[in-house]
Amino acid sequence: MTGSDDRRLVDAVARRGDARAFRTLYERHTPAMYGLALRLSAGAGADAEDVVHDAWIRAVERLDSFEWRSALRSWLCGFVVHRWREIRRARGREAGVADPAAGGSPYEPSASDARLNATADRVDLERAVRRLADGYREVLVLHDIHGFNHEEIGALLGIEAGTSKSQLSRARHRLRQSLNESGGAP
Amino acid sequence: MNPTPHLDLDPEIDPPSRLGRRIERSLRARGSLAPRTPGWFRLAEAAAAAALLVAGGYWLGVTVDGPRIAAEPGAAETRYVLLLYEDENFRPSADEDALVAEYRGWAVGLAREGSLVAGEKLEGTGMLLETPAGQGTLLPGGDHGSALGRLGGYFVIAAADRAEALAIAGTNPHLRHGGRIVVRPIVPT
Repeated sequence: MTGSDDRRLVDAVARRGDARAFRTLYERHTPAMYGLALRLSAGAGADAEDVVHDAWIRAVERLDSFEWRSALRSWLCGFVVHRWREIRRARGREAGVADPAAGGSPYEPSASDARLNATADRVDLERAVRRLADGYREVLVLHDIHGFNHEEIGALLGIEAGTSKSQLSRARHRLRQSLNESGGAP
Repeated sequence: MNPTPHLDLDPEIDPPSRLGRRIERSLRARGSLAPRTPGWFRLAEAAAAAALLVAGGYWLGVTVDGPRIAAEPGAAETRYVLLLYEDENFRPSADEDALVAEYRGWAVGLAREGSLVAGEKLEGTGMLLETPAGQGTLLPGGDHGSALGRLGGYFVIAAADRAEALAIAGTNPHLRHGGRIVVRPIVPT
């Protein structure tokens, strides 16, 4: 099992600084971390590399305090989210979460959502995700691509689970609007 | 975690290969990973890498340009030259074979990680050329007046920044034998 194997590898890195164990963990979990960082940073590859680099450094330094209350990958992705938000704050960019003007009209679920995956070209979809305001993009990427639930997102972003739900609804609404405007969705 | 993500986009994206090297070097520089030793690498891999390295003197005589070994610096990497100097304090082991193995092990380990670009041992005797049509003046000894002593050879490495370049240079066996290393960034052209 990956989970129990992760424990053995984490132990080897934390106790002995075992480079081979680290490489296995790196190869196993970095694609998800990089995918998350790349989408949070709206496709900025250099930013994503820096975020993943810093996330791994911090995570390895704290490996011995990881209590396995969540999957290792979720824990690692948390470092990605935190580092990305630090960088974003340092640059003074405003997130949608903190920007009431970015709220727009509440999202109402509809049948077209169910067809979204099947009909929208993935390139258009990626572009539409990138165009979202930072706060919307964070919630949408974490929930709809990486599978975090609202409680987990709330903990990661420092918001209430209910806020995460409403942000997700708005993000999906904006996403659908964007796809419709670009002709990428029905 | 939510088992049914809403968007049909793969959450996993392969990172550039340089990222792993960069992270590993940073962790090693911080002491979070054990120091690099040849023993970390599987024997077959080390042998394969070593087969690409032509021994000359007590470390290499090599320009490494295979796609698996050459370090092609990415956006976050710079090449650095490590200039290995020897003066009266340089006292290598009398066992030439052990010395060869030591330097080669260091180079093979670095090559395996994709951080070694090239390495050459230099002859002690050089020629000084001062005019385009000159015949050159013999300069024996190799130190050429340098306060650091004789320039015995060099390595070219790829590193994310000066700290990592120094961390890599700090593991070179030359220092353990009393030699000194000058680390200089190579200006991209």
